[in-house]
Amino acid sequence: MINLFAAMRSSADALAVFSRALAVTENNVTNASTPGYVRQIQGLEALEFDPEAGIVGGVGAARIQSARDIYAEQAVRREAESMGRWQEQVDALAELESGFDLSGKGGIAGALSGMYRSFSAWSVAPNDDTARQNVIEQAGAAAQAFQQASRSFGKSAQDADSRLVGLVDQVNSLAGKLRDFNVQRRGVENENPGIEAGVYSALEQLSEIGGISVLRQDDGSLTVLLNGQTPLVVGEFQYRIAAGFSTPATPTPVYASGPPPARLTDASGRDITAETTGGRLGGLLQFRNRTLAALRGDPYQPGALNRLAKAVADTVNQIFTSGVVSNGPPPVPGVPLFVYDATNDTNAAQSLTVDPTVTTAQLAAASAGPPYQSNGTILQLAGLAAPQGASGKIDNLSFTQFYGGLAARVGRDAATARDQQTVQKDLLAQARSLRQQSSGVSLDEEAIHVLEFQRAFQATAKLVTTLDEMTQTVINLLP
Amino acid sequence: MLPITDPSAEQFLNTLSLIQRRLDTAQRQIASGLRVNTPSDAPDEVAAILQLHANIQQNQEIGQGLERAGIEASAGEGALSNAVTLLERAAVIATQATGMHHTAESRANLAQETQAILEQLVTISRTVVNGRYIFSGDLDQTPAYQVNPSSGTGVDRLQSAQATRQVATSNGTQFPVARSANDIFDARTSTGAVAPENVFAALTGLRWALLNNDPDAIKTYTSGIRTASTYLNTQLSFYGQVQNRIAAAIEDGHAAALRLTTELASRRDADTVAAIQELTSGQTQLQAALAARARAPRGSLFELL
Repeated sequence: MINLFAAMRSSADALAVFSRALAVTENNVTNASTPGYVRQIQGLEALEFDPEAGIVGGVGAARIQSARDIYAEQAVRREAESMGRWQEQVDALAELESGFDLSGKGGIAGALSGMYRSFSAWSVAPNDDTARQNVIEQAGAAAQAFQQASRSFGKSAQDADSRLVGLVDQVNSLAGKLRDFNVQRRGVENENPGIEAGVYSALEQLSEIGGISVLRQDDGSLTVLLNGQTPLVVGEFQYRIAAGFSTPATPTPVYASGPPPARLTDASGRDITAETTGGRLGGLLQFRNRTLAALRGDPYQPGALNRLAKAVADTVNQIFTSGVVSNGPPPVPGVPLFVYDATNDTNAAQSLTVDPTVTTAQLAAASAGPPYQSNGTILQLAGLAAPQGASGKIDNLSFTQFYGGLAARVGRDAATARDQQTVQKDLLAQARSLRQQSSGVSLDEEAIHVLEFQRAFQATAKLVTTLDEMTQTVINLLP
Repeated sequence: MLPITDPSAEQFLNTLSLIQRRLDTAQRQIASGLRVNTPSDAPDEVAAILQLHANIQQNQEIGQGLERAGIEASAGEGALSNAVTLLERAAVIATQATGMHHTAESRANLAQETQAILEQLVTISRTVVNGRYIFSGDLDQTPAYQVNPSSGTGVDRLQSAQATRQVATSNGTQFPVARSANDIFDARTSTGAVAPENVFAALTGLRWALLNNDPDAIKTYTSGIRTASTYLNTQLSFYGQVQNRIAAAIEDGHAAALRLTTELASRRDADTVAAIQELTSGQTQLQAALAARARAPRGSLFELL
C-alpha cells in the first residue's frame, strides 16, 4: 500500500524532473541563435505504478535527445562546399578582370593600337625622324604594357598564394578544434549539446573551405576526411595539410623555368592538389593553377600572354628585318626592334622591351621588292592592326582580337562564377532552412513547453502541499 | 562577422543582394553610357569591341595620312599647272623667235627669258610642303635639281630617286601619290640618255639656239618644247587623278568610320531607357522587400506569457 511519504517523495522527484525540463527549455531558448546548436528534447517517462505492490509511480526524466538531423547537416555542408568554391572564384576573378581595359585606350589593346598608329603616321613621311622616334616610343609603350600585364598577373598569383596559405591555416585550426572536441567527447556517454554545437559549427565552416566527409566512430569521436580520403582528424590525432609552391617531378615540366603551381600536401607529404576540387580551396586552386596559369604560364604551358608578346615581337622583328633601310647597292637590311628572353617562353611578356641600341636610322621603312617601295615595310607593319592574310595573326586572330579573347575568357569565368554563386547562395539558404525546420529551436514551441512544465510544476507543488497537510493531519492523530 | 543563423533572414539578404546587383548594373550603365564596362558584362563581345576600337583609331590615322597626301597632291598639281603655263610661254617664245624680223640681239633677249623660265621650273622642282621636297621622290629631304647653265640640260641633278611611296586606304588598298622631278622634268631613256620629252633639255636647247641666233635650231627646239609641253600635261593629269583618288579614299574612310562607330555602339553602348526602367523597377522592388520584411512578425509566444 502506498503511504503518504512515498507519494510526497514521488511528487518531489517530479518537481525535479520538471525543473530539469525547464532547464532544457531555457538552454534551447538562450541558444536559439547559437551556430551549430540544435533543439534538445527532454523526454518524460512514466515510472512503474502498482499501488497494490506499493510502487508509487511518478514521472522520470528520459535521456535528453538531440533533434540533430545528420542528413540535413550533410546537405548544408554539401551546399556550403559548393558555395565556398564559387565564392572564392568570384572574389579572385573580379580582381583579375578589373585589369582588362575595354576602352581601347589603355592596357595592351590601347598600346598595340598606339603602335599601329605610329606605323601609319610614319608611312606618310618615311624619312621624318620625329615619326621614326615616335615608332620607337610607341613600341616601347607596347612592351611596357605587356610587362605591366605580366606583373599584374604575378600579383594576382601572389595574392592567391597568400590566400591559399591562409585557408590552409584555417583548415588546420578548425581540425585542431575538432580534435579537441574528440578528446572531450571520448568515452562520454551523453552528448553535450554545447560541445556538439561547436563541433557542427566547425564542420560547417570547414566544409565551406574544403570538401569534407565526416564519420562518427563508436566511441563518439568524429573522423574528418578532406576530399573523402585525406585524413584531417582521426580520434585524438590531427593530420595537418600544407600549401607549397614548387614544380612537381612528374609530369615532366616542359617549361622548367615557368612559375610553379600551387600545391597542397597531406601530413605525409602526398600531393593532394588534383583531388582538392571542393570548397574555397578547390575554387582557389582552380583559379591559380588553371585560369591564371593559362594566362601567365606554368611548367607545362607558356601562357597566352607570353604567346601574344612573343608573336607581336617576332612578327614586328621579322617585318623589319625583311625590309631595307636603303636600296644601296648593296641593300642595307633593317634591324629587329624588340628583344625578349628567348630562353624562357614563360618570361616573354615580362622581359619584352625595345632594343635600346636601335636608332631611328636603323628602322627599315622600305621593302626591297621587287618592286622597291619606300614605305612598303611600314605599310606592312601598319596592316597588323587588321591583318588580311595569315601573317600577323595568332590562332587565326589579330593580336588585338587574341588579347580580347583572353579578357573574354576571364569575363566568361567571372560571369559563370557569379551566376553559380547566386544559385548556391539560395541552395545553401534552403538547406539551412530545412535544417532549421527539422533541428532548430522554435521559440513558440519552447514557449508552449514552458507553459506545460510550469503548469505541471505548479500542480505538483500544490500536490506536495496537499500531501504535506494530509501528513500533518495524520501526525496530529497521534496521541 | 557573425554568421546569420536565421535561414529566412539569409534568404531575404540573398534577395536584397540580387536586387542591389541589378541596381548597381543599371546605375553603372546610366552613368557610363556603356553596357559593357568589364569583360564579364558581355564576354562574347569583348574581342570584337577591342578590335573595333583598333579599327576606328587606325581608320582615323589613315584619314589623316590621306589628308596630308591630299595637301601635297594639291600643291603638286598647282606647281605643275604653273610649270605648264611657263612651258606654254616658252613655246610662244620659240614660235616668235623663228620670225625673220628677229635680230641676234632680240633673240638674245628671248634666250634670257627662256633661261628665266628654266630657273623657275627648277624652283618648282624644289617645292616644299610640310618639310618635304614633294618632287624629290623617296629622298624627300633634299632638293633634286639646281641650275647650271653650263651643263647640257641646264641643270645639275643632285639626286636620283623614284617616287615609290604609296598611301593606304581604309579598305586596304594602296596607290602612289607623287612623281619625282626626275620623271617630270628630266625624262631619260632606259640607257640614261636625254629623252625627247625632257623639259630641262628642251628649254636649254632652245636657249642655246636663241643665243646662237640659229633659226633652224630654233625650229627644231620649238618642236621639242611642244613635245615637252604635251608630256608635262600628262604629268599634271596624274596629279589630278591622285587628288580624285584621295578624295574618294577620304570619302570611303568617312563611311568606314560611320560603319565602325555604329557597330561599336551597337555592341558596347547601353540602352539608357531600358537601364532607367530597370533602375526604377529595382528601386521599387527593393523598397517593397524592405517594407515587407519590416512588417514581418518579429515576436514569439514568449512576449504574451
